[in-house]
Amino acid sequence: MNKLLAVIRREYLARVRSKWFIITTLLAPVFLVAAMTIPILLAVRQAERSVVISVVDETGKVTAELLKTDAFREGRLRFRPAPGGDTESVLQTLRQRTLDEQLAGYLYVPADVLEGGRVEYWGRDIGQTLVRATVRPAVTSAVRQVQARALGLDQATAEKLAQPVAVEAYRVTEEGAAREEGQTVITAHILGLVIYMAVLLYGAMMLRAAVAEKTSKMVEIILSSLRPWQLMLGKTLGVGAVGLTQMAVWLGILGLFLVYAGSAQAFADAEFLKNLPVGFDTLLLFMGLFLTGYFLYSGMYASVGAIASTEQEASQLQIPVTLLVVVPLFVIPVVLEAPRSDASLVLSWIPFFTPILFIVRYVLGAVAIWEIPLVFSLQIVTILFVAWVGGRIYRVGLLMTGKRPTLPELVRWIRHG
Amino acid sequence: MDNNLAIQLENIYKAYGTKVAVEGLDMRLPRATICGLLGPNGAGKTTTIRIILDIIGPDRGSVEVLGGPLTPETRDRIGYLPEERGLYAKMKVLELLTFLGELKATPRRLATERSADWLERLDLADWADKKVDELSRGMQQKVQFISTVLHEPELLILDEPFAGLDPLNVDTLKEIVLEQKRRGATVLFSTHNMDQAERLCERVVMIKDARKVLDGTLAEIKRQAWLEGQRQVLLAVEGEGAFLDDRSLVRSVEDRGTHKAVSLQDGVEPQRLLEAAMRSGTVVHRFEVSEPSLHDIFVTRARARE
Repeated sequence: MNKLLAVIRREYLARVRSKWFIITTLLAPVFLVAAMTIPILLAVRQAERSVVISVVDETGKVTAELLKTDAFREGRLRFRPAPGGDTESVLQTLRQRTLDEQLAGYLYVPADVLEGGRVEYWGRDIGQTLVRATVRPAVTSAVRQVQARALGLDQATAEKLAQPVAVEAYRVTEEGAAREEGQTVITAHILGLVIYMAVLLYGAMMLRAAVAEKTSKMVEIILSSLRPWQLMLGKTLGVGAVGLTQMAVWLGILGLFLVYAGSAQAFADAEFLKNLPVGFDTLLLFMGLFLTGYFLYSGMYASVGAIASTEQEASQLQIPVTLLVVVPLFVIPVVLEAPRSDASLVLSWIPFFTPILFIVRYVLGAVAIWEIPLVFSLQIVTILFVAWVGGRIYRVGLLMTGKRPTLPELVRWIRHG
Repeated sequence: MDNNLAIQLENIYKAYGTKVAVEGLDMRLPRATICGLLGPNGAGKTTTIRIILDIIGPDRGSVEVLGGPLTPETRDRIGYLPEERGLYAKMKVLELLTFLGELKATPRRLATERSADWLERLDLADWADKKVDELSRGMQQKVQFISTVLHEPELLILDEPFAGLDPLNVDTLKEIVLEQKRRGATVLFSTHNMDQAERLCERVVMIKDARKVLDGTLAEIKRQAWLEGQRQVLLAVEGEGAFLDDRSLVRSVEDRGTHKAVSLQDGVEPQRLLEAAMRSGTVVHRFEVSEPSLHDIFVTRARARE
């Protein structure tokens, strides 16, 4: 037992003290925070910058209404009437001015707009938020005003009619309801990705740990004191503890960031950060799946490490194992689209995919309670099997150097171990 | 089970695929002795050592170490220096030694204390907080040697312990080996170097082509060789002694400064060498027939049955 602790301590300290560990532990949250912050800040900046749009108005009535819209009054869009003249040549001029960056773009309002004619927006940058969230509502509102007046309605009625209808989505949960702005899907995706990254990261760490005795030529010294399974278990727990440490630091930093972001003015509009669909139960399941995923894959990576003689060789041999981690990554979109489908259900039960896909389904609220003990039982059975096979490969593989075993030889190791 | 034996092997057989590494090996090593395990490269020395330590299992035969089968507790009473030298390169020396001590069930603090003492004794105290890969190969070898004696084992198994060391360090380690024996430990070490074996060992086991060809105390083995007619001539002559170049008489000559140690070809009587000296008119100051050196016995045995 003390020997096992000694191995765990050594494996843990050897990694936690390395520069590599300190750098990644501190830098990863910086990147993550940047990845979350920059799009939001950019969107805010985008909204603040005024966009000059020239308006070619064949009706002669819409432009005046555009100047009364919220987007114009708040300065987000600056509509300018286009110079008069032949429409074709005016459009040609505006096109050139847009290319010369004197204009963000131009609107073409046809004479028959009230009869269903299409308004066209031409611009250099036709980002979704600009067109969908700013230009389209402004134009719709302006055209409605003109239309209402044409029907002979008074100003107040016209304004009421021009009001866009707000449709908001709510997610139904056990606790009640939460305003939904896509945060559930994004959270599910992120948690799946985090498990994917963790399994790859700590799996690769385990791979290097498993070759360490060979590359340092310490196999025999260690084996004259320890049984191979003690060494493998010690390494698995040591590297796992490294993973937990890193996760804890990251979660801590992320938590601080969210608390700060929740109160910061710049994020006041970011509804996404509030109402995060992550409860204590989700975190618990996440940790559980992280652990089973880690043990499952570290066992496989350790076997690969035991077959290889050098780190280079190990990194070639680990490709099949890594493929097994990558498959669920590509399946995530399928599950996000239809978390309740039979395909998602079955895929998320396959032990090698469970750590990544099951958390996705859970966050999406597509998991039945009875599934949880089922998948964890499957996980544990698979882990025990992988550990048994891996232990046998490890035991024989440790003393092998130079020649890589063939597949039949591997089977013999496992059977006679 | 015999508690007076440190190692007891019976009829060990081990093959890798079709290649037989050890065949029919018996070995009984009494406690508190120093025993040399000799043999040419590929004879099966390292396999034998690995079988004793249960790093690999024999295909057949029984192994008893320190009075019983090898249990995890027995393991902690053995110190092992493998032929393949290596240490975790990125670890600090003192921490690594403490770790290796712990692997032998030495309490952490005690392991650190003893490691520091040993580093002091082997002139490595200044390196205690350096990483292993900053040390020279010789220093690393000494560190590895420390790890084998740190837990005060009852049995020391050293695979080529002196290879690659300078003479000063060889002497230091030899002194430690002798000290371990005085402490009551049994030492089994493999070597190619017959002079070292001859100076250090009380017993010798020689393996050749997977089989044991010699086993006994040094005195027994020399007497046996004498009875088989093997001789060595200690010779002091004036001049170069051109007659020594006759390959039909002389196998090899070792110059020992004051005299030459001459090994004769198989079946050659020492008298014939003296006759040859007389014929060449050389003045002979010393002519002494003695027991063959271990080196000669080794060479004779290694050539036999070829």
